[in-house]
Amino acid sequence: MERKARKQAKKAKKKGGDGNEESKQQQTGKGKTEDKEGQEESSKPKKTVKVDKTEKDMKKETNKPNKTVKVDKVKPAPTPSTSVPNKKEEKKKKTPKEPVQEKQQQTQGSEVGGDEADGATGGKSKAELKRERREKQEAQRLAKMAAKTKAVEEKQPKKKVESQADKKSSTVDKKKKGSGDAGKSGKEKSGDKKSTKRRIPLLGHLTPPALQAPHAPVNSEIIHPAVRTLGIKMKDRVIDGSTARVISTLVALKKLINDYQTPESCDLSRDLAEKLAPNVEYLNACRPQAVAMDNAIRFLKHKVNSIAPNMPEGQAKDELRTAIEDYIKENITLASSAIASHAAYLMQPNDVILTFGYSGLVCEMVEAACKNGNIVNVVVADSPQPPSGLAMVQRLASFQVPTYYRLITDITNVMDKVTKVVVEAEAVMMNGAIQGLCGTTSLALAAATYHKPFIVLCHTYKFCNNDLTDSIVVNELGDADKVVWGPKGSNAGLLAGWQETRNLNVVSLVYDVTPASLVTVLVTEQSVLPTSAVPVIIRRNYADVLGQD
Amino acid sequence: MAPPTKQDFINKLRLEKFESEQSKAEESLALLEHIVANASWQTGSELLTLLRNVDIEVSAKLPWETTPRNMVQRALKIVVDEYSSCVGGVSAMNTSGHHTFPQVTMDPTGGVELPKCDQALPDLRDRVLEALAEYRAELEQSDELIAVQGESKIHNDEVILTFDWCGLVLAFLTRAAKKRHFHVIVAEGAPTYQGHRMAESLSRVGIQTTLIQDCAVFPMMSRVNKVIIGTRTVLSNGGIKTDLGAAALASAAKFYCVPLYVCTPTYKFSRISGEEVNHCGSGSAIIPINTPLPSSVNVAVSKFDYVPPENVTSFITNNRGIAPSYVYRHLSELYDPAAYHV
Repeated sequence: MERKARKQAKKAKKKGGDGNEESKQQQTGKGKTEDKEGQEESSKPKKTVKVDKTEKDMKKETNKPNKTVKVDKVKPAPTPSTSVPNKKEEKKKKTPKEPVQEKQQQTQGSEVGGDEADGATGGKSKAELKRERREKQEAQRLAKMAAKTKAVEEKQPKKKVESQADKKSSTVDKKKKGSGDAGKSGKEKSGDKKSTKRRIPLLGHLTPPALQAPHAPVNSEIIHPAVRTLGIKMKDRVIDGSTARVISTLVALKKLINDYQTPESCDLSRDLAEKLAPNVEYLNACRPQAVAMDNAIRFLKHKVNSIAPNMPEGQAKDELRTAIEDYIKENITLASSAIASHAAYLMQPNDVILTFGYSGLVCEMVEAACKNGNIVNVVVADSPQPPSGLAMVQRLASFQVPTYYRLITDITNVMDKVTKVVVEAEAVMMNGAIQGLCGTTSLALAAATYHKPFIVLCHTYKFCNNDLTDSIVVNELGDADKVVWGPKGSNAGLLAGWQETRNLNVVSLVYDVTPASLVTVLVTEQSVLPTSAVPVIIRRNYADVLGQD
Repeated sequence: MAPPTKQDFINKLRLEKFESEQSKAEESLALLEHIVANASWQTGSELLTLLRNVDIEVSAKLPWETTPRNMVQRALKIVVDEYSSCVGGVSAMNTSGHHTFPQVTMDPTGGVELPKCDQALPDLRDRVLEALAEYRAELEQSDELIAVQGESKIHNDEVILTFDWCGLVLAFLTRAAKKRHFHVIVAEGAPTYQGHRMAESLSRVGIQTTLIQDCAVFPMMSRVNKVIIGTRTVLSNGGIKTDLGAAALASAAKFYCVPLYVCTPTYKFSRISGEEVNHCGSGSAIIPINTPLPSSVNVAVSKFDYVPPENVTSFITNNRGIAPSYVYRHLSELYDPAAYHV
């Protein structure tokens, strides 16, 4: 009975709001006659008079069709106290209509008053029914609340278990925030004496360098031994520099593909992709991936994915191997010589070139320039840790080129004699920002200050879709101990106990980002470009590879 | 203690036995006081000549050591002032004329002629010694006076960048740390690496410190609120001449529009301008041990760096802050214009 009344009331609403009152009245009237079987009310004038009320009652309180009897009972129904056990929808329906209802009640109070006596006996049973319904609703609501709280509690202990350290640091954060920490304290996490994972202020989001390679048994089926040795070499910086890392990664993965055998009833592309993933993660754990490595691995994954399912295994492996070899040949070897020749074309006789650290591309450029007949003088600026410039100087000296070796802090004293600044990039961002080894920005700034061109050499496969505006958001932490023990003389090892000291941090950044505004020109194997051309090249050549995530 | 002599002082300078500019200043002042007290001179002019000889000798042998020369200049000014006030009203005449608004020029038209203070005054010696003693007191207090300004310059939750060791900056930051909570980043300052010493001292005082490499100065500059450094010399054009690495620091600060404050006592204000003299250090300092380099490679490292005045925001001195464009006026208050020997 109740359900029918509710349905009809809903239908009445749906059919047209306040439009067809008559049809509604009839419907509601019908519903009421059905409902009021056990009741004595049947006075039509009263019905018609009260139909409006009841309509609204029906609309508001779909659970309570029998409210037309007494105004008294109708009145308290919409009040908030009694509406608490009801569903929230009813509340919302009630509140805008309350004043209207009250008016109607007032006007019809006298007429209704007579019904009270009639509806008394029926009202009680109705009241009982109402009470029962309310109790049921209460019970259901409480049950719901209990279920919700249980679910929340279950989630919370899981979270606690997973991220205790984070919570500790976050509570330390809050304490420090309370005591008035750095305004940029969103990133600041102080080193807690108890927590072993110490986070540096401003750079807390960067993970410290791995001291040991992640654990993997030698005969592991998941991690290929070639990948394992490569990971350790990269962690110890035996293999350093983005080009070398890319080549060695691809070679190691080529070995993995060689040794790979498709299990039965498996797709080669899917299975190989699954097998590649933990190896790549292992390399990442040994040392965070360079952007160039990331691009190369994406290329490989893309290639693996595009292998047709019905291709025989031997052929698929051949295809992958040749793809890797071609990638290395095209994007690295041939590209390097193209870049060198483009850049050498920019050189003039007796140019004094300033460069930073060891860079294979710059060496090739100098060699090409010498072959062209332009003897250039090269000033190598070097940071003390790691002193990669020494290798550069040795290689340059073998080209019979006048070479100068200076510290990075000293470059302002040579800038008036320098004619061009040439640097190799580790990666180029979509907004034209250049990611290079930490120190290239000092050269860029000096070039801008003294109005010398700042030329960046880069392979196009190192272009990536990120946009970076500063060097802190995405970076890698180097070995801080090298900084501590770097100095000669009395200052060496002065800060040896920095990890135990609460207030002291030693930071060695690996990369830095030069804003695009400081870069004059970008030399790639395609041609000599401005930095605004980077997204064009990405879209043209690498959209399928870099577009995927 | 043996009385200080010019020769000892110069040798000590040459062998770099002084810990800091402050100790150089104090010792040079002691030498000058000794000359005033004990040397045989009758007239003011003779005294001026004696004092200026110190300046000439130091500048001939160690031209980059500006602090002793500045002390001599200051002493000359003190003598001239005392003489003029002794004579009373009649100011000491010099050939180029004594201007009320003295101009500081590189090559004064009066040439190398000192102001003529020909009258032999009996109490000149005592008065000069008194004035020098006052100056000495001022010198010793300069650390404290500069450090006191720290509280007003630094506010809570700031990130301050500094580089290399400077006792003044250390005092400045220590004093501020008593009332403010901030974070200091120290650049290590190759090839002397004095930044390590600075970081250690700061952390011992309780300031949250991070040591970074010099090449990381530009990346970190984007997060820095202020740069506070010390200096070796303040040049007459408002620029500074200081240890290696300052120029890169200042350019980076300019790029990110971060204010650069230089903590300097008044005895570092010098009348040389520009980076005329740059002393070269030993190249072997920058090559790691046991790395063979071909002999055709030219290795060198300079000793000083020049920061142009447009990169400096203000100088924090004993009594007040000075803008770089106002340094010339301050110089004319400190030193006598005609007494300068180029």
